Amino acid sequence: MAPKARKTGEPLEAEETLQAVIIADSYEDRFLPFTLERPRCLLTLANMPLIEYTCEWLASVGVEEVFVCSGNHTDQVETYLNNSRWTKDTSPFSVEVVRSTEPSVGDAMRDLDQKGLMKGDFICIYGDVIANIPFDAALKAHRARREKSKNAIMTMVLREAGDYHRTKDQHHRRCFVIDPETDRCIHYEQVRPRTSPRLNIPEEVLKDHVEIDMREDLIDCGIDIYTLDALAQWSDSFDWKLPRQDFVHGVLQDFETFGRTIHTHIISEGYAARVNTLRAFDAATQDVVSRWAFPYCPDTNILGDQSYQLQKGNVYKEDGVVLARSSTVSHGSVLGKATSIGEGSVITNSVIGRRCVIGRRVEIENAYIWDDARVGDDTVIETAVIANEASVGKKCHVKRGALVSYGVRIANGVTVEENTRITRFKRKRGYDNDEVCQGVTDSKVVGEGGEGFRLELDEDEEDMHEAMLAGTQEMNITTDGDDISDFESGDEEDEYAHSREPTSRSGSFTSIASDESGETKRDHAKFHREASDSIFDGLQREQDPDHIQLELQAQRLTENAEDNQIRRAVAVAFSRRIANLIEGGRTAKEAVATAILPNQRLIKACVKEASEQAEFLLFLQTDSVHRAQGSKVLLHVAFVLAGEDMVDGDGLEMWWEDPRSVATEELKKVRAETKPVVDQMAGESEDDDEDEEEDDDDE
Amino acid sequence: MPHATHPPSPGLQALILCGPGLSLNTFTSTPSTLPKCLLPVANRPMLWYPLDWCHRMGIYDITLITPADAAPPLEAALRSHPVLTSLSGPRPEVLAPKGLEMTSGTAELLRLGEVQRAIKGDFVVLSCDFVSEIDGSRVMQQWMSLNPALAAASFSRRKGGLAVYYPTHGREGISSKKDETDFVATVPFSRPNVMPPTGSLRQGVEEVVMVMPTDTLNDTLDENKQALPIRQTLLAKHGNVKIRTKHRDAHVYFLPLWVKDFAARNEKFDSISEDVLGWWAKAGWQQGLAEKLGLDEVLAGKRSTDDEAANGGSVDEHEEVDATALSSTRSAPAPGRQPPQAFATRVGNSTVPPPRPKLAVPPLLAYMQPASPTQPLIRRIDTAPQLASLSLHIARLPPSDTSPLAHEHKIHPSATIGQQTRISQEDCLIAENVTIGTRCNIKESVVGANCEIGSNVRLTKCVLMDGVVVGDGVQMVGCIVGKRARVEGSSAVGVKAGEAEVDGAAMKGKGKAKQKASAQSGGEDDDKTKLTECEIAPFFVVEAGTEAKGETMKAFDPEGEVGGDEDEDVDVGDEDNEE
Repeated sequence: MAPKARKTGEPLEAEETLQAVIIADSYEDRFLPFTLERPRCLLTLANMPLIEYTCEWLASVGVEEVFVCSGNHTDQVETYLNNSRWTKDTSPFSVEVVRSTEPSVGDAMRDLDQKGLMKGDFICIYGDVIANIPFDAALKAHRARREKSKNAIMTMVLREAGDYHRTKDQHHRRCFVIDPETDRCIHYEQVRPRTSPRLNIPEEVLKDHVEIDMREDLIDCGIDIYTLDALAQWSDSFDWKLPRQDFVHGVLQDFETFGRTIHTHIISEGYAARVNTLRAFDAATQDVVSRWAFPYCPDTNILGDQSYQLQKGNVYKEDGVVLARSSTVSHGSVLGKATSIGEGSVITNSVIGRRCVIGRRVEIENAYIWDDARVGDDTVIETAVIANEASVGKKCHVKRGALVSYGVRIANGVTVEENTRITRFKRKRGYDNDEVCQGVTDSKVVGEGGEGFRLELDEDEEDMHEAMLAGTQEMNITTDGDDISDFESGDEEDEYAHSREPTSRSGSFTSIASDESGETKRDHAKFHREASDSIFDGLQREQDPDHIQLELQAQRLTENAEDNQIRRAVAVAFSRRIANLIEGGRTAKEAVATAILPNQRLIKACVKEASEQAEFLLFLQTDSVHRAQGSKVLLHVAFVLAGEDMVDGDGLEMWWEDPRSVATEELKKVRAETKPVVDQMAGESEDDDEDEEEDDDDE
Repeated sequence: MPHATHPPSPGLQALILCGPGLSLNTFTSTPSTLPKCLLPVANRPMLWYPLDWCHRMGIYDITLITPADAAPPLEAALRSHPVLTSLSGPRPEVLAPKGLEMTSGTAELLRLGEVQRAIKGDFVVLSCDFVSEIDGSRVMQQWMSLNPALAAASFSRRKGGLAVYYPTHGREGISSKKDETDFVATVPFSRPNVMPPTGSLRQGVEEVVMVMPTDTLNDTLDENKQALPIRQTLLAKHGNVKIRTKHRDAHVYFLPLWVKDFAARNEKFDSISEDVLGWWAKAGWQQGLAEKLGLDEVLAGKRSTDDEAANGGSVDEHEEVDATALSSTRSAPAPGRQPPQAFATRVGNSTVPPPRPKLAVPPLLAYMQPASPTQPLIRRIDTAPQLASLSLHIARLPPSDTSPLAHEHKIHPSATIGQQTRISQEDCLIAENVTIGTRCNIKESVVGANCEIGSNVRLTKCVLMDGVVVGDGVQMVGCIVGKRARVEGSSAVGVKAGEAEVDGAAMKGKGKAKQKASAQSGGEDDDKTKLTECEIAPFFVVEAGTEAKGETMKAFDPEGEVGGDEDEDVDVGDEDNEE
């Protein structure tokens, strides 16, 4: 029905029902490890799930139908919404959850277009927006433009802010070039500080417009008014993923051909922020607590069961908070129901959820402690997040930027270092089923009797900082001084990080194995993900190697992949299978034998020349860095490969001497144990049979 | 005239640059007789406009800077021209520095020793072709009232500058697509705590971050694959940059004294508008640029020339006191203190400025006039069409108009007008001692002093400068006729005895006139002179029966210019007559 409406171009009616789409999946992992177990839109900010803020705003602007596009943890979103007031009879709008398994916003939009759910102009918003900006004027302006020209396909609602504010994204400066007369966005560029020293304004832009504004001080929280035409644009360009970098950019570039225009509506009052990074989370919480986002502040008690009361110094307390007489709760703190604070504890500028138990003489500053967490006596918590049901023991020190995920237990007397992420779960690759499985507790991190392990982020450095909670102060310095430029890298818009999310491990691979970039990098990542998944799957089910090989070949043809990509996929798949077996209780040697020996043909098919062998070993090595018992596995793999003639002395030697295999300390460490094998093989590659037998005996 | 009382002097001095007027060369080919600044615009010498503008804002310390060639006629005019002598106040000083050539750049001019010595305090630089309806004191008020804030914003405690830009578009009858434009990028100047009163120019005051003439912009575009590169540092420093491409620099600059040293120090600066201001604007945000330009030393007060200290008259620049810091209602951030933290987005722009660079360059402000037909007019006259359109605009102003440019008499009482002649009063301007014959029809035209117009003449949208003779039956539309030129009419009847004094030089020019039209029409009974959109040079004679459109008529003969010297006597004598 929607496509038809588009063709006939029905005039817009003022009374048409206002629809909205909430993109609930963030398609990114800046909130790791929390988003492993929960969707971002259900994370609580000042003790209220983020999606509530978004819904509340949508209700306030008179939306009547809401579609929630969710890819990750859809069940949780659905359950939450079903139990929320948005699905009750009194709800101002109807809610429908649209499942979409695709890995980007673009796919979600195309999905929406296909389903034809949209009847007219609609609002598109992320599920993590906190806003109280007025919207009528924007909608009116949008509709007026539509009356005049059908080509005005979209309006971006932007909040004007100063040059410096705490929610400002330090990495991606979005520069909108706007014609103030028509509010048309004539040029959009994602400016990365210091990567590209200049912003190029095309001549046409200068010549065709009397006055243009270059705005870099706008908060873009992704509130857009789409028309059906805009939705159709998404469908027409199947490779667009991101609403700004791809969509806006693409439409603007085609302006000459199609004449479609994108407009902006700049609002100078009200509050708007997108909670898309932990720093934004930190900043937005402060804003909410200090009442900038009124009416969205705790004492409005938006949720039916809340009972916050505002007390002196922006301290919000719910009913049933138990405070020891000698405890101090100072400015900017929020305490949820049934939370108890022990004797002598000091809580400053922190948000504490419900039913938390805070021990005695605890110091908590600028921290976020979610529901049902426990903090033992004499513990100090700096700017950190302690998630639901996590517990921190006695005499612990949780340093700045630490993230303690759901259900993690930190034993007594443990110091959690800065910017550590501790979780009980980790993600297993496999996009469709997105397995999240329990990781192995690392007692070095959580102490004896604790539960959880350290989650390493092997994203680009930039994303590391994006994903940091407490980097704020340093960040401010870097924006002003030009000397520090460590934070630059990557070609991706923020959401690019998400689409690569499942391949985060291979991300570091790419940097070692090749110098691909941009488009090809993503293609490769996709192939790699799919191929290694399917090989792993085959290995797991102990399929016939020929069968696996056939499948791989098919994938290779469709994706037009190169040989080294195949080797990489195979290496990673084997490494995963081995790790999987070890987790299942086998020793490293057994695991390697079980995984490799029946499937020799698979390896032989893609590894022939010495250089290829070296490359294959390099991939294995790189992958082993992250694996439990990585060095041991590598030793055995090298041994078995050599023993079964899959690699020869030249290959081993080549690998050993490759500078890439000693690029980092970790790489050096992981391969150290393999040295004897290489020495022997390389030294006496002619009569390797004997060596192997000897080695075999040693084992 | 309305100058009964003088406003209090603001302590500024004005420099009016009387340049050669290259783009008006039809009328100014001989600067020694008729420099650009004496060209009549709506029956007043061009120079009158900036002079009057300065006087209205109380600046009487005015120096006219002119090349040596043009100095004598300029001085003569100041002594004797009725319009100029009618200006009250002391007569402006004429300064003709030795090194000043016709081709010198304006910044070069500032570097000249004579000019350096002449500048004793904060100064205003104007161009002689500046015409403004806007009250100068309102612009100056902005500069003065913002100065303490500017000084506070820069640690050097130095004053900033103020330039004026006007929109070239959006005004019917005056705007033309061919108008010169400048590229100017500005950022909003920090919002005042109290809204300025309506009618204040404060709303239009912005800080300039980049400025260049459109020609330079085009060169830059050509060099960079048709794109204008904008530095990241600009965007990092200023989140909201507005670029205008249809505004023009009015060439009115309120400048603090240190700019003199700034200009003197940088030998490469050629023009004030492009180089001095352009680099100053950039130095505000480009790191290291200010030091490179020696601004640090200039701002620290080191003089580049020693003779300054010897000059007893030099006024020391006082540090501006930050008055807002003394306010009890608002706490200004103590200088040097790092902002403790960033605030929420709603707090707005004014709260936390970034940590400042070591050297803070005082901002260069600009009054950007909004494009609207109701705004008072600001223009520069540097092309003939502009001269015409502006003259006609002034002619349209009713005598009672509040505009400072309006004439007291639309038709001067001393003009003699024949019977059955129709002159549309509302859009015409007829000067003193004009004689107009019978049955003429004059619409939307300006007729200069001592013009003689025959009978049956039709003038539409024409500008006749002083002493033009128009024969019988001539039809002119959109023409600009230079001083003492003659447009001959249909028959010998139109030639009067008085015209015999037209000298040989003009007659030579006549020989060069295009005569094909007259040749064609010679046999016909209708051999009227018809001119459309022509520019006629001073002392040129257009032969009877000429029909022309869009032509520039001037004597190309070099002898004609030599002959110009002889005219000088006539010229001065003419002015004597007017008195």
